[in-house]
Amino acid sequence: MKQTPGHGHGWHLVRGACVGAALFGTIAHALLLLGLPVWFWLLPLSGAVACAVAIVAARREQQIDWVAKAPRWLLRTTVLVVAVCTLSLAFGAVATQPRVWDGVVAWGIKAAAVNSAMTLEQPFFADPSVLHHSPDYPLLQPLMLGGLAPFFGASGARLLFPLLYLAMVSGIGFATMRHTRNQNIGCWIALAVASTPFFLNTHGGGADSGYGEMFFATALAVVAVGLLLEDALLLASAALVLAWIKPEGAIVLPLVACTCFAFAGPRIWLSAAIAGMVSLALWLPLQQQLGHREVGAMLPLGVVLVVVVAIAARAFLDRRGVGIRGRALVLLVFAVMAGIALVVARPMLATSPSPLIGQYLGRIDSVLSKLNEVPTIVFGLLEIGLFKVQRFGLTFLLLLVAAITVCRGRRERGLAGAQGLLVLFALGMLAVFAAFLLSPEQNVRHHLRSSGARLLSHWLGVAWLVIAVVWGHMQPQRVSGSRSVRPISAPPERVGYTD
Amino acid sequence: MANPDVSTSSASSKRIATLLAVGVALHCAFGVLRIPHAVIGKRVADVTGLQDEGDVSWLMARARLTGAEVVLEVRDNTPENAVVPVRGLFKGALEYVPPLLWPRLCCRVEALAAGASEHLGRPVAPYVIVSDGASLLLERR
Repeated sequence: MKQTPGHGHGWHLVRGACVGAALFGTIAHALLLLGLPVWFWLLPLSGAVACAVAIVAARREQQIDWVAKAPRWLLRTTVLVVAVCTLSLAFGAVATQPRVWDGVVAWGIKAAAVNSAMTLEQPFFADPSVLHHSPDYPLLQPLMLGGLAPFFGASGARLLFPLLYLAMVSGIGFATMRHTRNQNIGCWIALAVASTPFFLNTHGGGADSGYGEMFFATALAVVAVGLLLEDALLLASAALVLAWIKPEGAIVLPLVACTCFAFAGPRIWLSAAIAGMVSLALWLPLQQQLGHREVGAMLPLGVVLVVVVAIAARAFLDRRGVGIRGRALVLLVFAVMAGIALVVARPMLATSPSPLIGQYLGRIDSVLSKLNEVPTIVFGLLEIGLFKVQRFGLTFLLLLVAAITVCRGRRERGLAGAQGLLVLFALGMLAVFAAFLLSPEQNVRHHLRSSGARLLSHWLGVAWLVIAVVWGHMQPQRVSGSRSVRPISAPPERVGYTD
Repeated sequence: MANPDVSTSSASSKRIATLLAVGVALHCAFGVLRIPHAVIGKRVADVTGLQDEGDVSWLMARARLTGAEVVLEVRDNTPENAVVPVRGLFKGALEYVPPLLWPRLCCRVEALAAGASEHLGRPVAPYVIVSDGASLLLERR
C-alpha cells in the first residue's frame, strides 16, 4: 500500500508554521532585550520563512508505506468536526474582545499595548507606577496578536486562537499517521483531540478565551511530536517558544531537556538543550525588566553554564556508551544534588528578585506546613483529570490504560517513543503537584478549582500522543497479501528513541 | 505448532487495542454530541450577551463584581490619553479597570505627586477609583 501521503502538505504547513513562530519569537525577543521596537514586517517575514520550510520539506517527502488507510466516512467526519469547531472558535475569537477573566485582565491588555506600539519603551511596560495584572508575563502571544493586527485588525488578529487549535489537532493527527503509518488511527486521534471539551468550552482556558493555555498546549504538543518523530527542527522550534508563552514554560523547558538527556539521541538532545538555553537566556532578563526588577547578568549566565555542563556530561556518557538507564541515573543524582542545594540555599532564594525562585523555590520551608494538604492535592488533581468529563472527556482515563500498557511492555521497541513521552508527562505532573505544594496560595481547594484544569490542559497533546503510539503498536494489522494478523512494530524508518 | 506465548501476547494486544478504540470512540461521541450546545450555543449566547449589555457591564456582572457604572463614568468623562488614579485592593474588581479603561493608563494614587495634573506626560483624571475587592467607588481628587 505504498503511496505519496495525501496529508503531506498539511503536515509540512504545520511544521513550517512552528519554525516561523520560533523565528519570529527569537528575533522579537532579541530586539526587545536590546530596547528596540519589533519591526512590523517581522511577522510576514517569518510567515514567508514558514512557507519556504514547508515547501522545501514537502518536495523532499518520501513515500509512506501505510499499514491501514482511513475509510472515507471517517476522513469526512474528522474534517467536518474539526471545521465546525474551528469556525465556532473563530466566531468566538473575532466577535468580541476576550470574555473571560485572565483573557481580559492579563493577556488582552498586553496585546492592546503591543498593538499600539511594538516596543517595551512605552509607559505601560516601562513605568512601574502603571498598574496592570502580571506585568512580567511572557509576551509572545501579545506580540503575535500585535504583529497580526496591522494586517487584519485587532479582531482579525485573534484568528490566531482558532489557528492554534487547528495546528494542535492537525499536528497530532498527522504525527500519529506518520508514526503508526495508520491513517485510521491518525483520524480517530485527530477527532479525539478536536472534540476534547477543554479548549472548546467557553470558560477560562478555552481556545478563544484569550488565555495562553491554547498556545502553550500546542507548543508542548509539538515538542512531544518532535520527540516522537525525532524531528530536531520541530522540537527546537517548539522548545524555543515554551518559556515565551506562559510562565510555566520556564519550568517545563528543563523537564523537556531532562527527558531528551535520558531518552533521546544526541541530535535531539542537543537541539533541545540549545533551544532551551537560547529561550531562557533571552527571556529571564526580559522578565526581570518587565517586573521592574534589577536586570543582572547572573541568570542568563547561570542558564548557559548549566546547559554547557549538561552537554559536556552527555557527550562524556555517550563516549562511554552509557545507555538510557545510566543517563537517567545520572540525572537522578543531579536532581538530588540540586534539591539539597535548594534546601541549603533557601534563605538566599527567598529574597531572590526572580518571581519563580522567590515565590516557589524560596518557599521550600512552607512544604512542611503544607504536607497535610498532599492528599487534597493528589485526589483533587485525579478528580479533575479522571472524572471531570466535561473538561477532558476520557483523555486521562485512556492515558492510564496506555501508561499501564507501556509499563508492562517496556522492553518492546515499538513502545520506546511512548516511554519518553510518558516520562515527560510524569515529570510534568510532578511539577504541577509541586506548584500546588509550593504556591503562596493557602487555600489549596480554591487553587485547585481555579488552576487545576488549566495546568492539566497543557498536557493534553502529550497524553493523546502516548495513547496514539500505544494504540498503533497494539493494533492487529492485516499483512498485505495474507489473511493473518500481526501487531505492528515500530515503523522501519525509525524505532523510537535512539540510544 | 503455535507458540502459546505469542498467541497470548497477540490476544492481549488485541484486547488493549479494542479497549483503546472503544474508549476513543466514546470520547469522540461525547465530545461531538456536546458541540451544538456547549460549543456553539453557549458561545453565541456569550457573544450576544456582551454585545447587548456592553463589555463593562457584562464582564463585571459575570465576574460577580459591582462598579460597572464607575468604569463607564470614567470612560465617558476622561480623554483617552488620561492617567486614572486608583486605590485599594487590586485583586478583584480593580483588576478589570486597566483593560476596560485602555488606552487610559491606571496608576496608584500614591505614585502621583499630590495635586498633580499631569503624569507621564498625560493629563490626570480628576477622580480616584477605589476598590474593596468586590466593588468599585468613585471619589473626586
